[in-house]
Amino acid sequence: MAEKLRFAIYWAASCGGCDIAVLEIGHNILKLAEAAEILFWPAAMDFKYKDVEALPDKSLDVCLFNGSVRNSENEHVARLLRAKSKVMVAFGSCAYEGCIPGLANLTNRGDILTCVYQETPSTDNHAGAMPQTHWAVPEGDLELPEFYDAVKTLAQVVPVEYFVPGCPPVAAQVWNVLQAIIAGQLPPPGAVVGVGTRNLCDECERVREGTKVKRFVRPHEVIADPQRCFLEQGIICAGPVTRAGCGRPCIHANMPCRGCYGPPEGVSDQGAKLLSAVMAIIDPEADVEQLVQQIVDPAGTFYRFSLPDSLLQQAKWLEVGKR
Amino acid sequence: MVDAARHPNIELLTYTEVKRVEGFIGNFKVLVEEKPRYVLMDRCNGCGACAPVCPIEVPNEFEEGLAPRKAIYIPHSQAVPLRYVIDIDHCIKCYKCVDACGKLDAIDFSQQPKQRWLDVGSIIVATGFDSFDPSELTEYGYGRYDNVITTLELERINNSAGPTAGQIIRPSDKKFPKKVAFIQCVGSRDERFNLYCSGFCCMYTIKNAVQWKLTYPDADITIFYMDIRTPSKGYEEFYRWAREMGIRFIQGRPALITEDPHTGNLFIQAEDVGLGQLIELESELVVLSTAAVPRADTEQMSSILNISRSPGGFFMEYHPKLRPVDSPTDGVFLAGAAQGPKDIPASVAQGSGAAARAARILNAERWEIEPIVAHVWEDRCISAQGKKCGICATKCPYNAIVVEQGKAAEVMPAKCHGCGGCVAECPHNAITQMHFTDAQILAQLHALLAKEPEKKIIAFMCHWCSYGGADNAGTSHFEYPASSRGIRVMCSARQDQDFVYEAFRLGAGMVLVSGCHPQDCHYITGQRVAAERFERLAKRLAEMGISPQRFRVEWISAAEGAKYAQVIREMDEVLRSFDPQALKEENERVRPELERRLRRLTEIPDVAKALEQVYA
Amino acid sequence: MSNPDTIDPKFKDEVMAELGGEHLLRCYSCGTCVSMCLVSRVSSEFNPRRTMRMVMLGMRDEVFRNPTIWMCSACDLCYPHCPQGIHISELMRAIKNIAVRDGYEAPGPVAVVNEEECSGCDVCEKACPYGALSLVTKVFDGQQRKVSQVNKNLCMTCGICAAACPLSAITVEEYSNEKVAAQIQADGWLTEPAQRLPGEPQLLVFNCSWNLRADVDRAALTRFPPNVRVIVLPCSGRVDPIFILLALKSGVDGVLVAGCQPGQCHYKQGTRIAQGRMRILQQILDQMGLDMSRVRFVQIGTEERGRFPALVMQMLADLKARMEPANITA
Repeated sequence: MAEKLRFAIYWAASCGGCDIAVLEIGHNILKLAEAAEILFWPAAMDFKYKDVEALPDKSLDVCLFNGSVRNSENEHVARLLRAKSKVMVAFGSCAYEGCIPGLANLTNRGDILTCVYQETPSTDNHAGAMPQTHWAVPEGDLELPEFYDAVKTLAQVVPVEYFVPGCPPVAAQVWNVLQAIIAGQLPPPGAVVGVGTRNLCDECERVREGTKVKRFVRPHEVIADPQRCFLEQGIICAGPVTRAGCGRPCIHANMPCRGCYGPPEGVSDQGAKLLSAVMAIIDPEADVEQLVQQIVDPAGTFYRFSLPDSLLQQAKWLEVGKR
Repeated sequence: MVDAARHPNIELLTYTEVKRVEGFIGNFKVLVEEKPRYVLMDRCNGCGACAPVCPIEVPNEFEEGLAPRKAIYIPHSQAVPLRYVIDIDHCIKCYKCVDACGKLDAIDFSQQPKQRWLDVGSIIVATGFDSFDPSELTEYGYGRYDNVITTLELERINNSAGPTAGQIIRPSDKKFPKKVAFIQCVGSRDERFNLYCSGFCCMYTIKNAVQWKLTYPDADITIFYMDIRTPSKGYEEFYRWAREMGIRFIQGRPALITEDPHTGNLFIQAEDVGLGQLIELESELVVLSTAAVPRADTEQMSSILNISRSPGGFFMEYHPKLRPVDSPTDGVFLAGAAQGPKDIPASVAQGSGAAARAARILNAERWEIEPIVAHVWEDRCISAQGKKCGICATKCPYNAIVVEQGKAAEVMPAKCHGCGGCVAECPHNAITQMHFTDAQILAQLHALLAKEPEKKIIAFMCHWCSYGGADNAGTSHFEYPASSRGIRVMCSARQDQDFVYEAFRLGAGMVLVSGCHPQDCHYITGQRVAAERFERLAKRLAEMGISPQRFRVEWISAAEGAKYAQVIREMDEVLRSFDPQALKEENERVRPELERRLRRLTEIPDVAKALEQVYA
Repeated sequence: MSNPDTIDPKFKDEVMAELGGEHLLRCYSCGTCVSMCLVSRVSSEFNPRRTMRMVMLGMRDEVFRNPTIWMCSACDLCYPHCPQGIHISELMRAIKNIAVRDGYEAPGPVAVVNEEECSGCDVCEKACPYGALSLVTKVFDGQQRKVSQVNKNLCMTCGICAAACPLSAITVEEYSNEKVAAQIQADGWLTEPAQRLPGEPQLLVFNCSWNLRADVDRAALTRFPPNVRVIVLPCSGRVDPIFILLALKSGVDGVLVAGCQPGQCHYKQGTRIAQGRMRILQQILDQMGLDMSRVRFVQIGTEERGRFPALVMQMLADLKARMEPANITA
């Protein structure tokens, strides 16, 4: 009998959805159990870091790492697992491109901590206590991980072989990737796996008639026509700049795509490309300034999942570095 | 002007407006209102002591706003009469002028407007023209760029009595401009503003350019034009002289002028069409040749004088070739640019012509008028019974009918030109036209349709156009079938709907009503009255059950013989396509309704008698 | 001398019967349209007045064989100024329609669609001001897919589609993403310390090709100091926000994008599209905590002499003031 593959599944700054996505493969988990041994999955069972530290380097075949790098603990474990693993997979949007936690990069450490520990309405913190990385108490030294100024993607801290996009990746895709891993049929390193190369529109059944936008509306403001392209109804849909492969569950639920599968092949900044496309389809008679006003929170709208992985982020880090 | 002021037979009323004109040729009554000068004409001697002490300065209209004048002023030093006037809208009544006037005591702030009626035999309208305001042509920057001026402004700058004492300087820095460009057709020949050519601007620009070049031989002068129009005697020769003098003529209408704000110079973008290349010419001064436009009060004057206006807005002449100084209203004549843009020789010629024609009226003891005038039967007119009507007056193109409630409508024969529109429009048949009475026309109709009416086309024609067209068809040998029978009246406005009803009642196969094209009507608006009437009539005939092809309306000019023949041919073909029996049955079906409508015909005086004679 | 055998006296009637050609005969060759036209400004072979004259004279072959008839982009700068009220761009379109029916084609180059990469999302069709793009169904490896197709006779190579395409599947070769990125980074202008003057900002300028009329303004494009780099594109609508982010992350101090004034855009809609993109990009930069005054969008009228160089120098001065130590906030 072939030796079982040795797996690790870890969650860093994550919601847990990607771990549940692994369970979503349903009865196929039994086949996974046949082919693989899970040596570290703290989200599912009681594993400790020392279990990983005890492993020899490169003894893990695959590490499915989900969640972004928010603090020093996340980075520490990322490096640890990188050392112990032959193949690192950035699993899910957080690890791949930053995802929702990445939106924190619109602000900074100081503002976040001040808001959370002092300014929220339900907080009573007269002393102005703030989390510290070290604190001495009679019983000894207390330590907390360092909260970084910005969220990073996995690949921004350690080398990564494969990327599985999605928030979370859909069950079918997860199983496809696992099967490919089990069968040893992965593409060359650096690839985004389990998905297509073009955008969602490639698979979307909605009708495109060439209607230009006279007014932008947010999804809650209208009941969308389920047959027509969202963009042609003035609803911002990230489909054109989002990699195909999810099976379009959102579209089928009559909600526009929000871009969680990251950019298609060859697009270096998902948000900029979506902005470029959305503003290009405006009606010649419409008032540009009014249209601009109708797009609320443009950074959140266009960069919802991809902010830390964007050119915009790099421009920000360059500026911060200068100061 | 001084000669005119001094002539014993000429009374010069200045600062006076015409308020109302009543009456008719040879017997006009004109209400004029003399505006108060606040200066006593018999005491002021034009000495000018008042103006220097007046503290108020406003832009001087005569100087095109380039220089100021005081609130007490004379328009210019050659004004006739040379008496001062106070601009009461700006005067602050400080009384400094009164002090300066001193013993002459010529200023009187208590003056009021004075109205009086004048008895005149003829009227000449020589109210001139205004200049187009080129600020509307935003691409030339007039009003935004200091050094873009109009020709009239240049004329004042050039004039030794003007604001710069004849020194040519440019507005921004008061320096002498060595490079100047003139642009023609500003506001003329332009779909957006005025379609017509203003006619005199090419010559005045060449004149200004020649004058400049003669005084300053080194000057760099360019004229941008689309076409150079120099038609009259000596004009083309003058143009050649200007070219040989070294004035640069560029065929190419500039699209845009931009300014360098530091130097105040202008950059003119144009295509040199002769060369086929784009050029940008830098100039220190740009002069715009602006269109001549009708004066702002033209609409008001045309309604006071009861004269109409041509499409460009200038007063309309009776006939562009044959009566160019007459207005459509007898006794009112036109002279000069008020009738259309023209230069001085043409204006003088027209003035002389208008004067001669006006004088004929004054010299005559009697004046011959058309005999075919309208006449009211006072016992039939309901206005005499205190009811409100007045339809006849509203349809008259000449304001020849006066209607006062309680009195019968009154026709002024001297003003009536005999179109007959009032006769056809009167709902009570209370008005008739001499020599074209209903009785006469109906008699013709009955005679023509006495035998085999279903085989005939009755053609009502107007004298000036469609009858002329029918005549033209004959003399040109354009053949048409013999089924038509014509009835001539002066104007299609005279063609009463009752004539059409009666024709069908008598069994006519087809009826044609015809007249002039809208812009050709000899009686100005007669055709329009007729057109509206026939449009309504066509609907009613169809409602009554008369096949629509049996009634046709056509506008045919006197030169359109071929068209007349074609129309009759077509109508004849349609007539033949009807089954004769079906036609008779249709006539039977509509006869009761027609007879009901036509019952009043026999009430019209003389109709019954005339018809008796036909059938005798 | 034109050959009488090739004259077609009915040609003008044909053009007048075509939609847009009705008022051909009104033209009295005043030249106003040519002097307003920016295409004539850069290409003396393009002359709408001469073209109309040739149509009136029946010079059918010469008109159709002239490659410049395809250059009219319907910017309509001429139409409001024509004293005869002729809608010249419509008339040129009528001529082009007849040419196409006669078998003539625009000479190109045109935008090119990479059908392998194209997903048929239809963004380009909506973005194109000329309706030059449309979706067609084609078979690839036995499967039917909708892809975009360029109508060669309508494409004006403005590049708006290239910026709008979310997959960068459409290219106008002369202004491809690769070429522009190379121009942004050439000579290590942003990354090599030796290339930077101490205390001086580096400013990247994207200018469109049609907003400068006066010689003095056009000459200014190549006479800025070395810390200003100017990239000229056909249309401000070609400016992909990615270019600006690329420049920012490479170390540029500021980016100025200049287009035409609304209503004057050479490609009808480009300046409006650029305006929308730039306004939102500025908001995004602000949300990200970057100084949004580092990225500016200006719309310049062709008649605004001297405004473009003044704006560039003003922005340089503003960027320099930002760099002063006193201005850096903690």
